[in-house]
Amino acid sequence: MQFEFDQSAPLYQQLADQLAEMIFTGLFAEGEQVPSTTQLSQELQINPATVLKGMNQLVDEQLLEKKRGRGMFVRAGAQERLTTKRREDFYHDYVVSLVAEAKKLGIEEAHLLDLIKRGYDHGQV
Amino acid sequence: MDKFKVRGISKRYGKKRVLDNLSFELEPAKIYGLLGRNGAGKTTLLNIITDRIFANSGQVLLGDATVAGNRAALAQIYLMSEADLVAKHTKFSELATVLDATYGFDFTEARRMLAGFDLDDQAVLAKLSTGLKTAAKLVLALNVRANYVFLDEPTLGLDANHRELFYQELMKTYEARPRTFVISTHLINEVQQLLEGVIILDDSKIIKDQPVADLLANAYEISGPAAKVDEYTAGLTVLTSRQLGKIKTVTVVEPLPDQRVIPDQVKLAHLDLQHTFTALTNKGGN
Amino acid sequence: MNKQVLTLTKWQGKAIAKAVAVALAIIIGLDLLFGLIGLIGGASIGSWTSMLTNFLGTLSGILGFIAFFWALCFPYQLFKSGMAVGATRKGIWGANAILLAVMVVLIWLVDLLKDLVLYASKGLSNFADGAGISLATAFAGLATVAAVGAGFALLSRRGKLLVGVGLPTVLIFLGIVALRVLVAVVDKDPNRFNNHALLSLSGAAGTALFWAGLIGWFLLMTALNYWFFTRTQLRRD
Repeated sequence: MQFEFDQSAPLYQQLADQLAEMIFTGLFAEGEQVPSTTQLSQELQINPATVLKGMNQLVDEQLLEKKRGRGMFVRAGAQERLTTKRREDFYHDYVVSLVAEAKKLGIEEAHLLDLIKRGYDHGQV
Repeated sequence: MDKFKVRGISKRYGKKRVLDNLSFELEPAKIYGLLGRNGAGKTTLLNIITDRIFANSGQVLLGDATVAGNRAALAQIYLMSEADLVAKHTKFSELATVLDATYGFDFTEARRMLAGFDLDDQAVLAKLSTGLKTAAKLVLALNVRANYVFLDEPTLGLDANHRELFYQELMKTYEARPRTFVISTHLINEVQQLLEGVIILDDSKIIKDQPVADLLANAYEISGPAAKVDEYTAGLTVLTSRQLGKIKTVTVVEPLPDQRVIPDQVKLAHLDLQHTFTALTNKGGN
Repeated sequence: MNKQVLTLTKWQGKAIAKAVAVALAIIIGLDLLFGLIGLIGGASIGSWTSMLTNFLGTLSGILGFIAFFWALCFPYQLFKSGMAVGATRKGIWGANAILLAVMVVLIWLVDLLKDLVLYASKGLSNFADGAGISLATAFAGLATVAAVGAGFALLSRRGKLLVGVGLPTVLIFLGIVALRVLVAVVDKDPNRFNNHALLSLSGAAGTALFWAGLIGWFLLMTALNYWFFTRTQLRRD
């Protein structure tokens, strides 16, 4: 399991975020079952209540759904929902710090735009 | 299931006050950590709430009934103690049978767990090494059908592999049969993720009694230029303080003032449970 | 009797039974050994009666010794074991009391059997009285030892030393003094004791007063024993 936890945020939040990432990258496709609370709890040695809290958050965000007697599955449209959300957060998560760093280094706005253009031309994204 | 209530427990040994008016509650089916430095009174507290020694004052209740001398209540409470209490030649299987009479015992599950630790039920506890003895006692503790299970130093002598196995088995049995566990241990980092609530005992008093997530949400390490750090933490209770040249690092365990802006070169990080604990219980830090 | 007391009794009972078996095996083994050596040396085999009574006498002696020893020295270990398995103090006391009672009855039965074999000629009615008294006395005696043992279990290490060494010393000293006084008095006036004390003591056996006293003492010791048990706590040493 590709989980890594630190003290940056509550454990249940980190778990939810990392599961969301796995859904976003397609590791768990839509309609696919994700590991159960039991499995995660035992595998990662995390209190089941914490695991449940994280997964319930993803249910609230409509990324996961509970199928009676069968477990938790990735909900249809989850990937799209995540993309939309991340687009909304893009400015705050990336642009703000990028501009701040550029300013620290004395990079002018025009120069920064040039760099970004270079990234689109050369980068793989 | 009933709540486990401790009210106003005090205990003196001679002139020394070991426990001072302790009160707390345990909820059913939750995993708690009971943390405290050596000599803080953890074992004394555990012995009092399981009716092995008498407090000088206070009450222990399960639901509305006092626990002391109460057979029905005591059949819901189990303490895995650090000390070796049974006679030297006692076998695991004997103990399991006797425990079954008071609590009910999961023989099949126990055998499976024993195998995981390379033990079998004919083992004579006193003849095992410290680590294996702990493992055997653990298997007993995880398979009694009690609703409140107290584990005093459950990792004593266990090697890393066995500790991981213990944590796995704990999670497994907790999910299969939800009940309250209270773990008293010094290996705080290892159990942090297993706990829901934490009770910290320091110098005969309870200094923290809250969900782990809540405690850690307000546990910070603040570092930066000494003057800026001091300015930012003015009015807060600084628990520990270190200085490396111009850089000062302090710890606080309380909510940070929202309206105060974090100065430019000052970095904030959350503490893990172990560092939070050491910060709270370090004498001479203030 | 509840399940807990029953299980505790069985558990502790097994341990005692093992101890008895081991002790018996050793003593009988030694007996046989010496008997064999004697045979080789030319001695004759005793009658079956004497061998049986020897065996029974040994058995009751061992049982008696173990009961005495156990009542005196094991209450605290019992308490610890009980605590480890979630028993109540009452339950532990109950198991202890049952076991001691069983041992007393066993010892008495074995003694009875031995006397039967030996004095087959005597009528059974002669037994009843003596047997009843010896049973009651045995109960009272063991209850006393049990109370002492339980009280002992309450004491700290230092208390144990004080009482365990100090008290016998004091008692022995007092005993010697009493003996000397007794000897001195009897010397001066031998007739004095012929009437009252000794006669009335032997005459008392079997009277209502004697029984009342015995039963009263037994109840007192049992109550003390129970009280000690309910005050026992786990010790740090």
